[in-house]
Amino acid sequence: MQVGVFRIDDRLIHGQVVTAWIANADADTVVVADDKAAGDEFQRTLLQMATPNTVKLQVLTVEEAKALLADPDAQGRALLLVRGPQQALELVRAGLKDHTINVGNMNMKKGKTKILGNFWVFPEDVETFKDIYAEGVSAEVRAVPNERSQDVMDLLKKNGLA
Amino acid sequence: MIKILLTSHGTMAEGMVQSVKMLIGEQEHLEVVTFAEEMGAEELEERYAQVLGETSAENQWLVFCDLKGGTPFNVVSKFSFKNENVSVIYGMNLPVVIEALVLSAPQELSLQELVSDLVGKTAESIGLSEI
Repeated sequence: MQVGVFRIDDRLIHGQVVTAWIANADADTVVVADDKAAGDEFQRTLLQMATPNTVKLQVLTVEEAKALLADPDAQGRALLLVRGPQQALELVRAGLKDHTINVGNMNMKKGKTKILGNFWVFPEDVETFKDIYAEGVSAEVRAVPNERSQDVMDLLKKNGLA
Repeated sequence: MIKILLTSHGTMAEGMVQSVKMLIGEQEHLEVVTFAEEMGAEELEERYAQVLGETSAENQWLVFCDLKGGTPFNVVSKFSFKNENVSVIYGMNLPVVIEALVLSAPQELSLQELVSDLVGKTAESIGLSEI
């Protein structure tokens, strides 16, 4: 399966994804790689409801997503969504290295540092992004496709976090 | 009693209330929650919890969201999941909101009756003018 866009978004499928990113990725499938969503009936129902009828949806555990992405017989083109950098790192380590990871939303939570309005990080997120870059993969913050792309490592450095 | 909540990305829902007021006057059972930029989903969920309160057969809510699959829809759906006292309609528009307020005002319809009446009317609320 080809991956059109590989995105970190703690809201998974929502307005920005539905209105802009599916088309941008030229995707026929949305793959959500998230253990929590895969094991939660409400989340799965909601994700199905949120996905336009014109695209397929697969809600998988991260392990299942690794298997799907490695399967040479899996057809189609995916918009791949994960909730946070940790899940992204797992997929990168499983071999998904030829994409700049798009960071859409990592929202405000207690204990996080604000980098941008839609990009807040825990100290461990910073370490995880360092690990992602160490794998030769970069990441950009960009909520919607027509917004300016900002390199995650540059932003972390500018804020004295990396 | 059925109350109505309007919720949207940004201030669309607030604007909708103003338009409603202009057309059918002040509404008692109408509430608004807007989702602002920089607001997290958790904060939004707290707002909904405050407004909706303890739902029951005596405290039912019909929620209008701007967009299916958007964050307001996704978050408020937690309150309607396996709860027959909350219904969510997406694709909020002025004629359907007004219809809901008018139909629910006498407090005679059940939430289920109200919702099926409204959903039957949504298709005619948007169209191409023949003029």
